[in-house]
Amino acid sequence: MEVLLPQLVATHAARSPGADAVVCGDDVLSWDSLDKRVNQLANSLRRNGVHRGFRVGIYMDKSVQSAIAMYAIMRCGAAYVPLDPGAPVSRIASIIRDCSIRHLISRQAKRTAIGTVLAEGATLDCIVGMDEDGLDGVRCINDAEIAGEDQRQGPAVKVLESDLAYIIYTSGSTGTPKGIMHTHYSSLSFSRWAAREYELRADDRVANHAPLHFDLSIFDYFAAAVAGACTVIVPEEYTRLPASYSALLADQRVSVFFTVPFALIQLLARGVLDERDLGQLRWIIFGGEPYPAKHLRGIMDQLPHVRFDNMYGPAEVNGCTHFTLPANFSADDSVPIGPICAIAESLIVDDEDRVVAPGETGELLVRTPTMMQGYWARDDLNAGAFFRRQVEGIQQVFYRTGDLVTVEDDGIMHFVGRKDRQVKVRGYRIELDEIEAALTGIDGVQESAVIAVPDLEGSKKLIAAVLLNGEPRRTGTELVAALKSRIPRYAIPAKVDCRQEFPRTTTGKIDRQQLSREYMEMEAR
Amino acid sequence: MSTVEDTIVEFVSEELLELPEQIDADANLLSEDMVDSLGMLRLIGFIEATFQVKIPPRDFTIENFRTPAVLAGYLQALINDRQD
Repeated sequence: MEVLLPQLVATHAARSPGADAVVCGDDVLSWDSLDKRVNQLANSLRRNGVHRGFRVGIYMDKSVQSAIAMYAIMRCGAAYVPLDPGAPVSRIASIIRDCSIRHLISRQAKRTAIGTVLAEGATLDCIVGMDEDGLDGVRCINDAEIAGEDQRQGPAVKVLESDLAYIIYTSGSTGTPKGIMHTHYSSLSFSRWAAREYELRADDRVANHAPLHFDLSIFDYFAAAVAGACTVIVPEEYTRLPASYSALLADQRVSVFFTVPFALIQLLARGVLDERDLGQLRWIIFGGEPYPAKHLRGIMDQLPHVRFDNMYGPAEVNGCTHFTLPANFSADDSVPIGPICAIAESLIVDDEDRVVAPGETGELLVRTPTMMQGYWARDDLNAGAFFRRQVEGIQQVFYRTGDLVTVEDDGIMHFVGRKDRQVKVRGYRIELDEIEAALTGIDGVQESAVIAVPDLEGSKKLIAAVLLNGEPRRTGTELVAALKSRIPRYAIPAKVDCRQEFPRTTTGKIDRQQLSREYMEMEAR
Repeated sequence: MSTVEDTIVEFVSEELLELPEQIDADANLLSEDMVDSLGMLRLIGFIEATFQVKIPPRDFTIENFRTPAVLAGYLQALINDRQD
């Protein structure tokens, strides 16, 4: 059989059983023990009704257990769906309903949250990682039961390259999250490309900073697995405290580190990098949002032996361009996203899908084997997400990134902005329309406009301007509290400005540019 | 209970949690559902402004920030040092 994602584990277990596969704090799994644990969990999932093509949720902070879960779900021929453990339960329930998840892998600490998810109208057959029954009509499977399963081999299920491997949910502009579907083929195409491009080796130790519901994690696990390298999971608490984070990078001898600019800016400011032995670190790859050049130059000076690389690509296509910074990169330069990668091709087009002249700005369209299958059960979005053209009788399908870029003569692209109102905050994709929809959904709110302004941490800060309509008379604090149960934490505006009136354009629309100027001045003071 | 501890408990309870609720001084600030990375920046900004201290970079550790009680102990020492 073709080697698909879960077979990578079995392959390494046969070749180098004792080598580290996944590490999280004191939990260390060799390829052999990972393979055995994956088999056991997969057998248990199969016994409890997980069939090929099913969607199975993973609802926990990242750990060796969540790594086992990803592979075990795929070994059953099912797709894993990582759920943000910090997201409002209403959002979790809506994802579970959206892609009909019947089985959830979680842990005891999530019991209360799962109870609320069920109360929100989600239906589950089975929860793995719970000690006892007690949730109405849901079968719970504990660790002891899983430990009794056969560890030598997993269920006999045929899995094809074109089968779904995972679905990652991201913000949707209407307020409903949308599920990005990737197959074994698309994620392996990306992982193999990345393993080659960054010359990953079996002795590499690849840090996993991103939570599993964030697409950066695909590199951390699967590009590492292609090379037989070890994935070093960074427990969530370390990502909050830079001095502990840098100590972990040193202690765990991390050699490849893929993260977001926000984390690197924090590490530079408060991570005492000069006190850490990071001699083994050879790559720092960043993505998710633009990295302000002066902060980037700062960390390059601090770690002169490390190669820095900007990897670009929406979750829909994994990575599709990258740019390794030259050692003499200046703090006054902008950071390019790089040329299109070797396995992909690009078009830069205007509003009528005509290719723009060299040097002009246009939307980046990408055709790549790393591209998603589409959005789960969203024919409306899928109709507009792709650009199709016939070349010599063959149909070519490009993904419309929505990103505006310019390209230099040498093929190196620069990110200019967005076609729509999507913004990136600390690497997270946020649809401003979604926040506005959530705000106007609150009783007492007549209109809202959410504006992103640059912050001092090298990312952006969201400010919500709100027009109230009488009763109940809401305060900014009340609105923030109401938002917290509707949208993810990272999308909550830092400030809510309750106004008497909005600046308007001549056509009566909210003048967002004027608001933006106003807030930028306010922030600069 | 010290004032520093009260102040931290109050700020985290009212400003940083998903749904405002009174937390314990021994609550784990770093567990899931508690203070995320942006919340941590807000907490640091609040502490430095309120207690007029500058936390040295090497002190941004899990050991110092685990619970409000632990953090208050660390900050009290920092405040005392400043007054010496």
